[in-house]
Amino acid sequence: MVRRLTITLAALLLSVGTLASAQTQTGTITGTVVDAQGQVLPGVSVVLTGRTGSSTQFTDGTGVFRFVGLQPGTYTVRAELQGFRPYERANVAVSIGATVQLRLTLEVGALQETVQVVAEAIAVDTTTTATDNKISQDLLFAMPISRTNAAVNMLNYSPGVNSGSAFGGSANSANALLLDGVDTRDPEGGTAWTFFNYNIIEEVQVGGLGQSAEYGGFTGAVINTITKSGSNRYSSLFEHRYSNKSLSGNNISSSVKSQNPTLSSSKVDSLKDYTVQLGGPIRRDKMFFFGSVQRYAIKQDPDGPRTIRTEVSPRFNTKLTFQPTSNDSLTGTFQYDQYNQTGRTGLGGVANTTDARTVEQDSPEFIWNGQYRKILGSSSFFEAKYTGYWGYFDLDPITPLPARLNDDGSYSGGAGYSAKYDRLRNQLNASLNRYVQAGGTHNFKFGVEIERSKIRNRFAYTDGLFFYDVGGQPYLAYSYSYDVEGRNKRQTVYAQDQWTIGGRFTANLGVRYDGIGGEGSDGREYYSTNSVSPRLGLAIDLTGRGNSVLRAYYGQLYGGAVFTSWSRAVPGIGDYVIYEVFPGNRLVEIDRISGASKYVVDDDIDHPRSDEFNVAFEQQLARGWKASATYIRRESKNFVNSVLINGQWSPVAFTNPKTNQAMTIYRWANRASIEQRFLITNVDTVNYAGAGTGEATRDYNGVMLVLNKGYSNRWQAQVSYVYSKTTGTVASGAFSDVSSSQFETPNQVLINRDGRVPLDRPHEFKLFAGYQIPKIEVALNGYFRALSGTTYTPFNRVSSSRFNWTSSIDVQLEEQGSYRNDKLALLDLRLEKVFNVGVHRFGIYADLENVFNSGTVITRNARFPSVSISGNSVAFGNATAVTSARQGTVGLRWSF
Amino acid sequence: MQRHSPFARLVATGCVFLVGTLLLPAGLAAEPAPKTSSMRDAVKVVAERHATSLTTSRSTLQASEPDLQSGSFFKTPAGVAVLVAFGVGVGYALYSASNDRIRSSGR
Repeated sequence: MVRRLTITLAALLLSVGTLASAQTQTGTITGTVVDAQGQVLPGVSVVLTGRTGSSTQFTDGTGVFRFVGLQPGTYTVRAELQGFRPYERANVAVSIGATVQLRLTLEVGALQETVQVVAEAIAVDTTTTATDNKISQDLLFAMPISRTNAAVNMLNYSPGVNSGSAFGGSANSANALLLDGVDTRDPEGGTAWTFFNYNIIEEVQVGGLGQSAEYGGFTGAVINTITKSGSNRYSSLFEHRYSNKSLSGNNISSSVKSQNPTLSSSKVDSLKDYTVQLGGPIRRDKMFFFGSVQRYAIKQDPDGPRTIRTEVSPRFNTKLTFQPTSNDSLTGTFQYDQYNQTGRTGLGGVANTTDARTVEQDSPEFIWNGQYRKILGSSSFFEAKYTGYWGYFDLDPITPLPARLNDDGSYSGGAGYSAKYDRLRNQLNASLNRYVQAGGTHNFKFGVEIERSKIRNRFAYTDGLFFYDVGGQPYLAYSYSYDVEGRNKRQTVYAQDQWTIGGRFTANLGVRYDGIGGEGSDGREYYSTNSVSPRLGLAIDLTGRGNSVLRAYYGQLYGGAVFTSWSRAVPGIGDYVIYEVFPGNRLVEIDRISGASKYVVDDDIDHPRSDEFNVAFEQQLARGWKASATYIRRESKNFVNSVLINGQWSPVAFTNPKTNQAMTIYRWANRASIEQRFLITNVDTVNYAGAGTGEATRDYNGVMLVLNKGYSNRWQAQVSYVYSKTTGTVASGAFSDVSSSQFETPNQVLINRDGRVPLDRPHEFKLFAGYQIPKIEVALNGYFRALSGTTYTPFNRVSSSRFNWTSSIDVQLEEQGSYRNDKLALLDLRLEKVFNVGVHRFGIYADLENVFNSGTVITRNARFPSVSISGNSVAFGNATAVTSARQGTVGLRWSF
Repeated sequence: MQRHSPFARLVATGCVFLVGTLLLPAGLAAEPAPKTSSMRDAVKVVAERHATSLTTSRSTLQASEPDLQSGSFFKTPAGVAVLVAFGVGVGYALYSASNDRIRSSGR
């Protein structure tokens, strides 16, 4: 069983550039049946057997057969024709969006003499222009992959993706997170909202490059997760994972501690995580069920002054599949989960949150998904899906006292706020796939998507106030609250064609239209964009033998619908009131800033996008070996930001406190004559009157090399190296493309802003490897990565009066990205011993994350000359975060 | 998946073949005939044999994993253990959902 598992693992191990092109959830097996002389054979019976039954086709006049709309999994293909020996190919793996191409050769002989072949584990697709990484359940089963948030964590294991930033895209918010084919992100800003059990995943596709028109709503990558289903065979999984404080390391060295006394290693006090699953037939070949229940409970001693954070998440999943005929499939899935958390940070952030200053979180959630798939013969299939979720998370302080910021920078009182965040998301997708023979083979796909989402955010200071204390006594008080609401509306239409000409040239052509609108609770439309994105790709089978391909691609990628782009323009923000505090906590109002929005959205705004160009070469080196090289260029455009309307600026001298050299900053020149109002618009080019012209840019250039070695001689591996450069004036942090106030003054645009962005990592090396130790039959699987550190830039927080502005501004003192954090090298290992008893697999495993307990500094204080953290002065360049310490976890599991 | 009768399969295949032939682009239809027995014979023979081949493959599967193909599995000790473990897991998670829930004020 272990060997079978590992072989399957090898077949699917993050195989960059494997077969990928079409539908989000299913794959295709197609092929040609020929005789020993290479002549095509029409009328051959081809039987496909999978987990939920069999299906039969006959080859057409060109000897071609095709099975469309297949669920990911392994299949057996059997071909028969009178006068020939039957041919059977087992273990044909179909991944998400994959088109598996087979060439079956029938030899003259008796029907009783079946030729049996096991499918090649490593293959090259010569028709697609997409570069995808497929992570199967078998891989998830075998590798020491972090499980805290399955949807997001899968991404960072892929080449070219780190810290949630894919190929220079905005971290986390730029990535589409699809669950069973439909995007489930938070409609506010595009980050993950639905958390689910790691063990319900059947397969994950991380698609980044060369994507066809059906994929949209991303400028980074696409994570497409397919969940498990029941089949004709009863199957089950029971797993329990455990860890405690004795399995947690401490990697804060004394030198790092001296730089920043607030740093401490996060420890797991206890982890108890179990999953029970059961799936199987309700009626053979017709109806199947799958059920999964998890209870994830963790108690941690987190970073900073907090000593306890807890999370208890019960998660319930069910799926029913109904196949009234072999060509019809109805699926309904449902998830209910809770995310009960204590120990979340209060005002002042991690460094200033003590246990008494935490909030607790209540967040239940329902997710539903219904879909219908109709296979219309061997050339077409239709799919319709409806998915949605409802949920909220509320944050309530455990100490119901206002927060107090003391004059030494420390905090006291309670967490200081409560908040409620409500979400409702509905999405309908429908698509039609059709293969047509006309001047070659066309694989057309047409699709429609409709999304409606609702967002409501509420926030208030505890007792309505936040205090600033001097000498331990309240001096000023502030009040602030908001209750904002918005609705996203998106309509999408796309068409694409994978057109193979002469067997060796494939053109991947597509176009996608996204109409995205934003409506406030007052019924007014605040945001409206119409985007048309072409996708053009070419794949050439260089040798005609299917083992070498050259690909080229150009595409425009538009981001998803997000509230945060226009949320500053909607009503619902309360007045910001400043009080002077007198003895007896008597408050006297001294200033009031109206909460009425100062923002309007440009009527001609364009949706953020990234233009991608890539060229790739992929070669099968030998049996089980494959290598690829890809050049990638991505250019971000249509940044959404805000600019001061009719602002004028005057240069003033400023002495750089770090270099003592003169530099220029810009002061608001006409503050007395204009009202402070902002336009939310695209800032690709902005003219600052009296200061100059600023540009919003971010370009990614990279070369990605990947080598895959399929399982043989007890080992398999994938090694990748990416050399890249991400430069520009806009960082790749979360939401940076869709919402920021960076461009409101020229001071954060024209001064030292063009350079290496913070998440730029020139060198990235990743290695997955697995080895089956002989005699003791223990599987050893590991993941090693070595990455360049991220960049940081010294800045000085300059008071508002210097700029005649309404708040202080961080002025960068050197070129962006002039400093770099430490290089990162981390190794995670899993050792697993498996006992097979009949069909039952019992495993006991141990995971060790950060095996060498590396204490690499991953962020440093960029504020010059220092910053106050929990009352401690931390100088520029000193550590503010280190990598997570060594953590051991043990697990038991029983599956069949 | 539904299993059609051999006759229905033959008729369906014949129809598909006929329609497919009619719709075949002229260039493809003009290809030389393959070096095999006639198309009609091949389709007929294979269609007649098809049910047998399916039965064979299915019974092979059943022979290797007899317990996991029917509900009788749950009458075996292993099946009972599965049901008990599943029930305990579901029960405790339901208990947790009720007792570990952090309930926000104002909902």
